Amino acid sequence: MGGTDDSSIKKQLFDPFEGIVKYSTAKYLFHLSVDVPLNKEDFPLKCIGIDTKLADSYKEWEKTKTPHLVDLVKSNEKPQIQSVYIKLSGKEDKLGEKLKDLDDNFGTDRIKRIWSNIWDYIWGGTLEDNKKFENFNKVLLAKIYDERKTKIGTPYVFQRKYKGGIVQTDIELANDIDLLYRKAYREYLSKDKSIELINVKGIDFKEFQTNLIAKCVELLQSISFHQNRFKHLDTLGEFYETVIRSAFKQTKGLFLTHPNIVLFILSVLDIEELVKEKLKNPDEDNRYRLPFVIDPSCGTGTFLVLYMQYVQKYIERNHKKISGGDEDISDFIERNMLDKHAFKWVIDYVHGLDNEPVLATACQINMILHGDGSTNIYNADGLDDFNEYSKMEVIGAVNILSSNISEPKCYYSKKSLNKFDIIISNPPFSVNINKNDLQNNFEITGKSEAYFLERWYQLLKPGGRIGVVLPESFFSVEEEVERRIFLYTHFNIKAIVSLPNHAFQPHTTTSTSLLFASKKTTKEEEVFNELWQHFSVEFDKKYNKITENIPSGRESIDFNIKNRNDVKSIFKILHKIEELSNKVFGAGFVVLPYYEDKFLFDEDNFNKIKKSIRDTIASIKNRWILHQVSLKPKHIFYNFSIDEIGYKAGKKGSKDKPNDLMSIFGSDGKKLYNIKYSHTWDTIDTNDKETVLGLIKDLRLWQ
Amino acid sequence: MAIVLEKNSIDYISNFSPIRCDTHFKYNIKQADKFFSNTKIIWVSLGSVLGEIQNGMNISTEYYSMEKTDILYLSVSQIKEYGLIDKNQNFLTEDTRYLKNFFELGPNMVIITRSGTIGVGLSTNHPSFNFDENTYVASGFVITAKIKEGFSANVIANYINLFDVQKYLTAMAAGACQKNIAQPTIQNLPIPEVLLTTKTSFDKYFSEYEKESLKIIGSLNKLEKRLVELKNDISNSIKNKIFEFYK
Repeated sequence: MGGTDDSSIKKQLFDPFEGIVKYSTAKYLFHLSVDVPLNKEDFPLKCIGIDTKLADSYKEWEKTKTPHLVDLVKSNEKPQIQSVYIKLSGKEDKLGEKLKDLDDNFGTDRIKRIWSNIWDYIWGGTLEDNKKFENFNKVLLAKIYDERKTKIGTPYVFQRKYKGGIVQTDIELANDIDLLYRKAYREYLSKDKSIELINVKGIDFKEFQTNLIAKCVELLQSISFHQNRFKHLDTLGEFYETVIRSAFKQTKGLFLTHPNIVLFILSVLDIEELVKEKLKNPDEDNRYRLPFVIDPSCGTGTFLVLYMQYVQKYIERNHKKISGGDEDISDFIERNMLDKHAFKWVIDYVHGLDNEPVLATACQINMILHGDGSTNIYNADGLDDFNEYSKMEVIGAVNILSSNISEPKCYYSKKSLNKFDIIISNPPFSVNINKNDLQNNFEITGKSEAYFLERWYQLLKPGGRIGVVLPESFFSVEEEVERRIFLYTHFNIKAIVSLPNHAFQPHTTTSTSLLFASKKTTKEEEVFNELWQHFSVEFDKKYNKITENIPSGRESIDFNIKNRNDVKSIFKILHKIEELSNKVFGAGFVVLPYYEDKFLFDEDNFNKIKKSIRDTIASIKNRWILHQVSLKPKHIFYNFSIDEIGYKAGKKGSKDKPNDLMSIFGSDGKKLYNIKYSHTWDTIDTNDKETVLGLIKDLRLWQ
Repeated sequence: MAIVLEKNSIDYISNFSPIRCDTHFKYNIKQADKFFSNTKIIWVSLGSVLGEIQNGMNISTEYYSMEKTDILYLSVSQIKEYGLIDKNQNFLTEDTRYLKNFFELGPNMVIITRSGTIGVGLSTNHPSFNFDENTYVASGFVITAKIKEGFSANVIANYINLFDVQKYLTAMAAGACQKNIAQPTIQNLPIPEVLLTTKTSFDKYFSEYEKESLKIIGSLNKLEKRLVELKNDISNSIKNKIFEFYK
């Protein structure tokens, strides 16, 4: 029992074969081992067979360590040699003809065909089903783990094998894949690396039947995701994008952001400058040298995956220029960002949260596929109390989400974290959340996106930046005005880019905009707060000055229509109020109601008139204060609106379109429109004034 | 490819009631802000002279009549600044009258398109309405308001159709998917007091415009009729040529 290693092959097979006469005529040598069974029916038997004609000594076999057959032999019969996928070193010259490695030479067309077959078989004729998506993720993770962990000369587990010439049943195969997944979970996803495999929640055979698992294996077993020679494709990343976008049911305000939009957000945020700045000016203890980034509603991780690739690409191309001979910087880059240490930095600087377990897992897988093997992605509510995050088992050195929580300040009444330099996110829109739970932690009330706005504020360092997607209604409708005042109070808006309403089609036609802003510095917050208090008092004085001109009782007022020009006439009094309002608040700020003569000169209506005037003036309070405060100093930002974003998706697929957001080029120098997958883009033209990015760069938003 | 770029600021947007910072608002409001920020004008809210205000009716297609009836269902495309047009007109069955929320337009009302082509105002006193022969029902994409006694629906509709006011209303449109204006936007619409107090002179002024516009519409109708005749003539002529060829 137990695993197979080289010493057991030597001791148990070749030592007797070479040293003991009665075994020396054996035609085949077999080594059997059994993995940990997860249930009574499961018996994960592994078999390595060696043809002694091909390797007659351990020394000979050691050259490639490749078995010649991987099936059991029935007693006294020649083994039936079946085709089997086995990890090869490439140096093998004596091999059974049916042993081969995975196919690593194929293009996107094959990927599309495979996905189409899987889709038809698993999802065909039904609506998307997130349970299927969740379990398919597990099968996929099993495949990734198998490709990565299988040793050279060992058959892959992720394939339908034979036992005694008889092909594995679906249940046997499904058990093998389930075991693989559990190992993968422990290695990649679990914060507790000592968890027993039996305690890992495996593939649910009721939700995802064994015949579906077997079909997935049949379709995927022959190809290599890990290695691909064709056009340097990030095959698995590409495949997974397709899986996520077609198999994950996008509802309840959760819609995946197209890579075109994410890449644009990253480019506008001037990530390069921030990275350079942090590398050159680390934190006081010299420990942290890159921006801290978080997406508190990370979904499947498009923002974070593209972020880490964006930064990695920038560093790989510019590290010498950035370090400029500074050994501390180049040492940090070498140890965390280059060659075999590529993406190592992600563990300390990139964080993600998602409340949906299936999305958090998908995000983790997505990150693993794109180079980060130890992610800070947590299945946790992005709006939770910060103390709740202390319960999470983290991978990095410090649980950044629950340490050094800052107490309320004079300008903000709730706790903050003040840790992150950048927030990139597309929060769930208009999702109902339990408001009672949030009262203690948020000033804002409203829809889910409003809570996320405040959470971004809490997470950011003073001066930190956001590049986020929000529903356009957030910026425009009357009901959101209080939330907008929070935005104006605590952030400096840099730009708002209104996207066409096909940006998230075919899933939703909701109009969206991109918001770029920075959290105000402590000084700015203090000044703003001080001015707000000052003008609040001013407003009250002005309000009183106007309303005290309305007599408290009707006795002193003349309601005779014939005396309308008399000083005591109600008509004259209202006229005076009107003039005073315009003088005190500025013309246009107060639009008083119009009273027709019949109503105005009826003294029974006096109390109604008085109340409506007071209410009208009181209703402008916050707006007038904001107006005064924002003049000192005047804060400029930019609005953009565009028609085209490089794609237009419908129910039957996506068409390439011009891209007003930015000009992107592939490694062959050709302009790209629809950036589906991260590895296909090479450069971004930041000087193209025909694009929003070019115009924004010219405006130097962040300076 | 069209990119809209607008320079904006918090102090600018706080001049307007919903303190909106979206691009749509900034782009449209800037075309009207000179008029609305005129400090010499005494502004009052339009709501002061509006009586009952409500949206039109959303009527299911089962109430549509295949034949011409005397109940006309006015969609946004039929409501123009210069009167009703009768293209692609929908007629409703008599059963519509028994709907619980049925209401018909009457004289001295103003109707304003709230979605689609936003902010077109039309007075029901316009000659293109014929209340003696027809019943008019407004669609749900239209706001309808009764004008208080003593005020002119004609003046108010024409005010709404001023370029600046239309831009203002377009700017005020908002919505998660399709943009539209809501009743409070109409009620809070600033209107120069002078239009209400000295309405007679404006009424006269707008009547002249109406007379001229009707003349032009008459000419257009004549030309359109002539166009149809021309089409018939040319069709017949080509047909005759074909017949001659195969004779």
